[in-house]
This record gives sequence, structure tokens and C-alpha cells, in this order.
Amino acid sequence: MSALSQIPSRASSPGPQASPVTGSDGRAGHGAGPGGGAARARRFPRSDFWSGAGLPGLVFVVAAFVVPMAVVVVKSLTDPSPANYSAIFTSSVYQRSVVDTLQMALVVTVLCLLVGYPYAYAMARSGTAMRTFLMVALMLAFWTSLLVRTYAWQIVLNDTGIVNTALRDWLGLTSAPIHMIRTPFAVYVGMVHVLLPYAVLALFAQLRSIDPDVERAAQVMGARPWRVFARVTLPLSLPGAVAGGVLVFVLALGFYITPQLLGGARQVYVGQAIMQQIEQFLKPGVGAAMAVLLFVAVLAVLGLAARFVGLGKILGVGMGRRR
Amino acid sequence: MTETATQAGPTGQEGSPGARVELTGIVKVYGDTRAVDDVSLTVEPGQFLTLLGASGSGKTTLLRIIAGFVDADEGRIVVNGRDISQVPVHQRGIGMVFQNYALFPHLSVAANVAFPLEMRGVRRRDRAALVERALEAVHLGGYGRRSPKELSGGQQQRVALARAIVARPPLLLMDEPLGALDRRLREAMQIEIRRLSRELGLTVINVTHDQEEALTMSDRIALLAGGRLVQHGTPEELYGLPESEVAARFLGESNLFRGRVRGEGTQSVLALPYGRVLVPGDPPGEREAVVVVRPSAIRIRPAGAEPSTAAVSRMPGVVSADIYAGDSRKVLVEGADGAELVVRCESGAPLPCSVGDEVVLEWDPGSCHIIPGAA
Repeated sequence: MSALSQIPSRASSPGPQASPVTGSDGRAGHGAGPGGGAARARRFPRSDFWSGAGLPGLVFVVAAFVVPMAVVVVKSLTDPSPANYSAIFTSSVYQRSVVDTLQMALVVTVLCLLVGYPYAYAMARSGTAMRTFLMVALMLAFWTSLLVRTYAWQIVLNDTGIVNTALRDWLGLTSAPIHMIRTPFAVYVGMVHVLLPYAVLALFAQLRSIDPDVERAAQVMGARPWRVFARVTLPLSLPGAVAGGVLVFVLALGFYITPQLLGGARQVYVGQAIMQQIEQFLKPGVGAAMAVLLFVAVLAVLGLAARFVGLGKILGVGMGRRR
Repeated sequence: MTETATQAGPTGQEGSPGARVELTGIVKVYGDTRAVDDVSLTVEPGQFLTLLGASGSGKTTLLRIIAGFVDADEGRIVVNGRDISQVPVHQRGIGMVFQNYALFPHLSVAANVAFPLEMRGVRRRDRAALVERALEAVHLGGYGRRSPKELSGGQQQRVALARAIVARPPLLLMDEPLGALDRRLREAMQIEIRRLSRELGLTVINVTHDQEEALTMSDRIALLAGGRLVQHGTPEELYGLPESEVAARFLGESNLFRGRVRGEGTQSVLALPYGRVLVPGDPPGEREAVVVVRPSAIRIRPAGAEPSTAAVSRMPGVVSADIYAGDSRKVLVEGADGAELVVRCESGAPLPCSVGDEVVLEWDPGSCHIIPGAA
């Protein structure tokens, strides 16, 4: 699970130009750093060595996430004044942006879970060779640069891209290109591509933790395969779905690059709205206030979900109860 | 199955619903190892059979083959005259208790126990009474609304048992059901399970590596080693009349003497360089044999003491350890060839020796058992 715990801080930083968003992404790094240290300290109660070993990480987290976030908070209140917040709440543009963002994040989450569940299930149930293959296939996409992947989708989904060319010239199904690029559809495709591994890994971990004997017990008591799945496997894998879903949702809320490159002008998601405030409208204070609100929203979602499945599960570290 | 479940009464007085199980030539190969190697066994209706063996003996694989989780490479499983080798797991109508209970953690105790009834299509309103009856049978009446997580290990085990018997399966499989319990609880559960299986007339196939459990609970024991059936018989037969060294070593402590048996006058004797082991029975000439002497049959006498009777086996040695075990004490004696002999004495009686003393061990020829042909 250590892989998962490291992933958020890495992949969720959409790029250097989106620094306010990066600030809000500090949450994932947050949870993994001190959380891991605490677990270790508990296991070796008398050893100061391990808590010492966590120190460089802690310094980095403070310097790279906590300090910038504090700066953002201060800026939101003082540049020029706390009226930044009222400006947001009275702006119908921002409200629309919030609704669009929530909708987008929700759709992406649902798609990730629907696509990711069968994949995670196959991974959990296959032999070592097949599992390794599926895992590498998943991680290959993960290890490819976000920018490269997003641009690739541009090429694929363009009016003159592979999909449209195939539909028109090879299959003869369409006469005019289907507009996919610069639509929410393209954003969903690109976002699912980026975020799918989080959902798959969370589901996979949960599915793997189910005692195979529990499924065998259901079987021996007369449950056909699909009933074993519906009555035992699926309910027992729900915490993984919640964990993966929350992670995807939270990451999707603050996404910038993918919507910017694949999305249309009609949907301005929160990440883009923040950029607009800073770069186009030259109102860094309003942008900072938006970033703070986004951060608070993310914390709220995490806090709410943590009541059900435990924060450690969502962040992919073993902070919760051990099975 | 539904009919058995609803018609059979609480005490199984309608006659034995237990199945007759015949295993014929079961073989299962994993890579180079024959995990189960040509095992044939018959379990009579209502019998409690224990598959006993060390880890890797194939006992668990055999149980999984019967349950249907593993397909045998060869052989047939016939239950009540019906070959179920090709029948899918969920249609075999078997009850099973798993080592780690395998309760459904997301369901209540009652829902756990009701699960087999639900799967067999028992109507919802009939389920509650059957569930409560099954829970009462394991002394957990009224626990239905709890979550399995709130229960202790022993209670979870009882729930698993109730779940396994609620639908009155003709065959109950148990995979090391008591392995995770502490000793006191384990002994209580042994008696409990035995009582239940008798009352219900269940045919039970139990897997364990615990010889005490096997001896206590079983009508029949099938001892497995290296995938092969070593011996199949009553606990008395396996303990008292082991047919092989493997059986003698596995069940209970034993002292084994290996050598050639020769006639000496009216007696036959297994002569060792450092002592004589009298062998009961009429010997037809010389032969190789292993003589098994149980530790409780041996008396310890001071070195140089006169033989208590003429017809007694004697073996010199030096006491190397004296282990107090409550109701008995275990004395280890190093024989002249360096092999360690085990003696069990009553702990109440004073020991005529202490560690380091030279002693003579004596036992009556009638108390030993000969495994012929083994060398």
C-alpha cells in the first residue's frame, strides 16, 4: 500500500503553473506523512529513531504544503480584504463553476468505479502472472506524464482524430465529425484515464482483504456464483469503493490541466476559475479565497467519508483498524 | 434439501439423516507432489470421521475435494449413492465449518445462520424459528441480533456451527474447527460438537492435526501421511494397534524398538545390543519387526533391582529429565544406544530416582505391540 500513499502528492499536482491548486493538494501528502510516522512510533514505542527518520519528510511537508497554504489563507483575507469571500458567494459565475465541478467530479467518480471494479476484481482473482500483468498495465498509464496523456487524448478525440477518422473513413458510420474535443465528454475520458488507478488500487486492496473462506462458505451453503458476489463479495468490497471513490472525487475537484486542455469554454471548473482570477482578472486575493474554499470542501468530504471507512483506508495507509 | 431442512425435527429422532460417503481412489497432484495419493475411504451414516495428519499430509486437500473447492484428478466421491464428483459446490448440500469461522462480517448472527436456508429457498417466515433453534442448539439463543464481531472466538465458532447445521445437511465438514481456540474452550467444544452430531445423526468429516482431538471425538480416524492413507480405524485401533511406525509415532507418545525377532525357548525376543525386549505371541521363526511400547506401560526401577517377574522386558538407562505435568510426570531416560525413551508415571507416587541416576526400565511383554515386517 505504500505505493498508493505516495501517489496522491505526485500525480495530483497538475503542474507548476497551477500553484494555488497545488497548495490545496497538500492534503494527500499531509495525511501520508505524519500518519505513517505515527503508526511507526506506535509499533516501536521505545525507539526515537523512527520518529527521527520521519523528520525530513515532516520538514518537507511543512515547507512545501503547510507554509504555502498558510500564505494562501493570509492572502485570501488581506488582498485586499476578506471581502474576497463575499465576492465569491455573490458571483453566479463562481456558483455555476462549483456546480459544474461537483457534477464533473461525481461523473468521473462513478465512471472510475464502474470501470475500475471489474478490473480490480480480475486483478484480485487472477494468478500471480496475470495479476502482475494487469498491475503493470495499470501503472504504465500512471507512470506516463499527465501532459503527454492529455495531449494524446486531444489527438485521439479531435475532429480529425483517430476516432472520427475511423468512424467516417473506415466504417462509414458518420459523414460529419462528432465533436468530442472541448466537451465534458472529453474531460470525463481524460479524467477517468488519469484517476482510474486510484479507484482500482483501493478496490483491489479491499477485494484482496476478503477472506476467500468467507466466499467459499457462501458457496458451500448453496449460493451460486453470482449470489456469492451479490451477497458477500460486493458488500464486503464497499469500503474499498468508498475509499477509492472519495479519493477520485477529491482529486477530481481540484483538477486543472485535463479540463483546461480537453474541456470546452462553457464549463469552467474550480481549478480553472482560480487560474482565471489570478491570471486574467488579476485578483489573486479572490483566487486565493477560492483555493481556500476548495481546500475546505475537500477536507469536509474526507472528514465525512472518514466517519464511514477510516481516513487511513482512503489515503491507502494502514492507519485504520487492521483486519 | 429443503424438505430435510423443514421436516427433520430438532433431535433427529426421525432416524439418521446422515449420509454414507464413499471415497474411491482420490488423487490430487500439484506439480510434482501427490497431495492426495489414491485415498479410498467409506464413512457410514452418522459416523464421525477425523482426517488426522501433520501439515502437508493431504488432509485439508482431501476435505476441499469433498466440499468441491478443489477438483480431484482421479477418483470418485459418492454421497448416498450419488456421484457428486462433478457437482458444483453450491449444489452439494454440504455443511461446513471453517478454521477461521468464515462468518459473514457484514451480516448479523441471525442472518449468518439464516444464509443456508435463504439459499435453499426456505420461506422467510419459516427461517426465524429454524435459526433460533439452531442457535439454541449451540447455546447462543437470543444472540441473533448481534454482529459476529461482537462475539468471542468461541461464540463465533458456535455461530459457524449453527450456520453449518441449520439446514440439516446430510454431511458436515469441519476444517480444523477448534484450531484457533484455547485449550479449555477447545475441550468444551469437542464435547459439544460430538453431542450435537450424535443428536442430529450427522455424518461428520473433521480435519485436524491434533491427535487428542481425533482420539476424543471420532468414531473413526483416518491417518494420512504424505497424501496416503496410513491407517483407518477406531481410535482404539489406531492407538492400541498401530499398523505402521508412522501411525505409532503420530498417535500418542511411543517408544519404538526395531530389530530381528528370534525364538528363545518358549519366548520370542527382540535382541538389542543393550537389552532384551520380550515379544508376546507365538513366533513363526525369525523376522524383522518394530515393537511399540507406550510410555505409561513402563516402570522405572533403581539400577541393580531384581526383575519383578521373570517374564519382563528390561532396559538400562540414565534419567535425563523429569518433567512434571500435573496429573502425570514424564521421565526421559537415555538408553544405552543414546536413544531417548519416554516414561509416564503417576505424579503422586514418589520417583525412585532423580536426574543422572542409572535405572532399569521394565515392562510386561503383554503391554507392547508388534508391527510386523517393518524394519
